[in-house]
Amino acid sequence: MIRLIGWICFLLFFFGVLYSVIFGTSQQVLADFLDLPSQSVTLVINLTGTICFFSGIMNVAKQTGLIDRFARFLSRPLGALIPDIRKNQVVRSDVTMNLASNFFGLGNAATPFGIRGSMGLVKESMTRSLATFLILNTCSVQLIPTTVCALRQANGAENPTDILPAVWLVQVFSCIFGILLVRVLFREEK
Amino acid sequence: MRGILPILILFVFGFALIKKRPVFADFCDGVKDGLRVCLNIFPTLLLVLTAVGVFRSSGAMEGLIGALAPLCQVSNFPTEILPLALIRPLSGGGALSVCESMLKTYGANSFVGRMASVLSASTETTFYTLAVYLPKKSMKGTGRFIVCALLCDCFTLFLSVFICRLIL
Repeated sequence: MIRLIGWICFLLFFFGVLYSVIFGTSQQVLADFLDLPSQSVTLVINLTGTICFFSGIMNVAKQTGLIDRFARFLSRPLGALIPDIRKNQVVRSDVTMNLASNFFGLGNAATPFGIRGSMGLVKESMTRSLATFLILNTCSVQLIPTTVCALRQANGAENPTDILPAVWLVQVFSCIFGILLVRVLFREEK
Repeated sequence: MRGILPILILFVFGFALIKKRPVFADFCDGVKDGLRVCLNIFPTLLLVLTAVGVFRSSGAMEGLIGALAPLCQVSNFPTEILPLALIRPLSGGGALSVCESMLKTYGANSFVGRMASVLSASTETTFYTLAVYLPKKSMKGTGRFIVCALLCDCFTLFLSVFICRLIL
């Protein structure tokens, strides 16, 4: 995957330079090579404030036990979707904590739970439970996408959070689609 | 929608204070974590932002979008969003750079800008997630699952366009 990104960047550079030679935009391309890397520093610095602030808030929420509460709230509906987690207390807590952390934008905190959760669900072959858990992770479920909002703010959006209703609708429907797709493609284990 | 963030922040702080948590220390720990995230995405952001910028300013992006236009006209699909849709499952930092470049080019309040924001916010870095979470790499059914996840990404792309047209 990392190699693929390398190739994509190479192709972007290659066609960019090729195009600029053919169409005489090389002045602009040279300016970009010298200018864009420093612009990306500005971008990261702009984003750092917002990312750190919400990371701080969400850590407060985590340490207070809000995320745990939400995870417990999730465990019943998730038990219906991922039946395998009903059998094992540890796996259930890992899986629900992973999804609850992701929901509140705690990506870093979610990863260890996710790895342990999927290890707990693994069997000989991909089961419906594991596939459902993974598809809930690859369809992003996040209450407030703070990084994108910060990006919009930095680019002069009138209201950076006006996209939220659309984001929520898309997330809900793509999760439903993902879960149904997994139901069709993976048979239930006996 | 303007109210939701402030309310969430007040609620978290208030709840933590009532529960007698060391709010300031917890907050600072979280900030350090956030710094680590930023440090991690920076290399990808720098490379992809530069690559996409060069690609765009040379005119190659217009060429690509122009080449894809007939295909998209048939399906009434906005071509501008394709570069973002292609990189989103591969790299989170990369998608952020493409989204930034789109917001800069078309404007954050434009329809394309909003659509790019919605798509960035409602999909995940599928390949990265799979690379991290898939427990046994050679498990039976893994290929089928990857197809499944990518189909889901495609669905999300069309859904984002549809819902943005509907309500934004």
